[in-house]
Amino acid sequence: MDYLENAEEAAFRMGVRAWLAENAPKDWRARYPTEDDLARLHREWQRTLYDGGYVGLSWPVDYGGRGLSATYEAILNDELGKADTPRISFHNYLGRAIFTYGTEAQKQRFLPPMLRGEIQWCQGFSEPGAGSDLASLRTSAVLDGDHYVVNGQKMWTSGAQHADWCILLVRTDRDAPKHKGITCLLAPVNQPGITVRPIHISDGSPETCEMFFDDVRVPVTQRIGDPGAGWRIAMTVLAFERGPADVGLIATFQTALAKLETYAEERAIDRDPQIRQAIARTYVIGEVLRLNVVEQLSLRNAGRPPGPDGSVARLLLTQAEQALRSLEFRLRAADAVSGRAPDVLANYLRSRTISIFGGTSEIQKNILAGQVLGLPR
Amino acid sequence: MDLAFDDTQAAIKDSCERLFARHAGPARARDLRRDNGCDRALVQALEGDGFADLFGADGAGPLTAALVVEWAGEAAALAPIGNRLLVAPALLAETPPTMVAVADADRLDAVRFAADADLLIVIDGDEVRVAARGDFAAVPVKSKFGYPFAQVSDVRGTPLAPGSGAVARRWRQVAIAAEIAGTARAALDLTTRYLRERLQFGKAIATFQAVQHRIAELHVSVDSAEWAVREAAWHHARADLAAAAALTACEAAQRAFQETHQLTGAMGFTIEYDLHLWTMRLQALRHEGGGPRAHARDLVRARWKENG
Repeated sequence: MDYLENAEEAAFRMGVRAWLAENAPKDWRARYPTEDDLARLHREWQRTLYDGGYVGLSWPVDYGGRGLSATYEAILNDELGKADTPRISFHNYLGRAIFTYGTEAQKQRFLPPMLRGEIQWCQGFSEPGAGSDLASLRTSAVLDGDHYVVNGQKMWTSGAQHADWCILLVRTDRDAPKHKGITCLLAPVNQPGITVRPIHISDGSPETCEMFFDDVRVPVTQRIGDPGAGWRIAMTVLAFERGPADVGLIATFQTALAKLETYAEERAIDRDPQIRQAIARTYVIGEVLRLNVVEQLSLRNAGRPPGPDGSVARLLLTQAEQALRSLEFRLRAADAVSGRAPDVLANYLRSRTISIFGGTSEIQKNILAGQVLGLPR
Repeated sequence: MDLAFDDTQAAIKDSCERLFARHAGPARARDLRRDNGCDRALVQALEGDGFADLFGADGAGPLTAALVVEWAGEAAALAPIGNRLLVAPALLAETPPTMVAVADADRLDAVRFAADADLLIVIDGDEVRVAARGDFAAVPVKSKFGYPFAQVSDVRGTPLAPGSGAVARRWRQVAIAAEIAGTARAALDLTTRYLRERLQFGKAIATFQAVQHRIAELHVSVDSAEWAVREAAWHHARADLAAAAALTACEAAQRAFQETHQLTGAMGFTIEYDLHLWTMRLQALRHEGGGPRAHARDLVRARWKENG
């Protein structure tokens, strides 16, 4: 075990930091106020990072990556979080499906432009009747010559209004057991038969989308993996989605907590024992999450793909973010109610959705109980 | 002792339910929120039926008034009913006007219902000042907490008798607690219905024990808030009981927000689903008047003083 970065890693971190100081967009929240502006910014930023050599660090060189260990991705994400840059695209987890299960032609077609930020993705998994019970999804795809014809509805397809492509789970075999009859397709979002509608959350912001499919034709060449392999592909994708290291959460968590500590100090409420304890507890949860990230990273470097214990990370991430944002809301309630600090409410609401999106905490606990602890169903 | 509703209370409950069915409810709340408005007509209807002045009425009193405040919250009524039915009658000799706002002198930047208030009650330590419309300025602020808020300034108005501050604070704690109890009850009921209707894994998610335990704990929490607020109202907002009711209610509000939103999943976060009409208000109510920290301090102070 070694809790310190080696010389190359430390040098890489310094390099990233210096590069970000030069290249990271400044004051971007004010300069890109609308959803559309932000979507444009994300593309530009992804391209800037790519040109700087910072996209696809752990991806194979053949597909536009740099072939480094996962530690470098984590260091990059950490520095991105510290520098408070715009978020980067989902290539690390949606790309994983194409990388792991795609044909050589599909990899060549999709991976390089994905890393360059030219293709933005959304995830068409959930449906009105298929949330926690994802395998009961009903959107159908029927083979017609060399095309699938897709009909149905997808929910919570975040980013669909700005996405170019959608990774879709569809039912291709009604007679197979529910986990076996699912197939994975890739479909361009802007094509006849697809309607995207934004879904607003309770603070009024267009947080996510739903998509309607009406006789949408998808070439068979855009199927990932074999017919019926969709469930396994989805589980791979979701396992990667769960990782807190992939989103640079540790750094944003630490930055936000430090800001709250300063806030409490400035307003002289840092002597209140209740607040001191709440800050201390939040700090501890963040530290535990950080250690989990380091451990998962070591396992990934040792060649082990993420498995069911990714649910531990997901639960810790949820706890940490919810503790942090509850604390922020508690300290800054007056600013939130008066509308002086609209971020406080938005952060709080978003933190409450983390225990739902990408697999509810209840499902994560079921996975741990069944697949890690081996308890009977 | 008898904690069942008496005949008058049962009759008032029936009438209020009919009145709120006509004048309140989620659709009405959505209409009013669109223009950052609130429901003067509803309070006038309560006044017309005599339910606004139960506080000092023979055969009724503060407890019955508090029950009406609970039921109004349950019906998503968008009006300062707690202020009108509980806080104002405790302070004023004459019948209060229809729309009453209550503020703390050190928290004037977001006062619930101030822009529509005929009367503003400002609590400032031991003192209370009351200002009629025109004797204060109120500029609406954008807020996403389910109520209209306004920034208040230039309060003139007249001071009430010394010592009114404590009376006002206690009754406001009872009013907030009653609003929370009713509001949380509605969120709980809506979620319970959702759990019965939502099917996953081939059955209603209400059949999963992990879900049942969560909603059962919330039920206990909301019941606790109801008991605490009713006792406090019956005892005319005795300092310890009022603070305990507000603290209990704040805890129920927090639990109700988190649990109902977890249990209704992503659907519960959408603006189309009605849940936020109650839950966003719970967040506003929970932080009003200094929030749980202030209520806890008041409770400790009241208990120490009485025991010492």
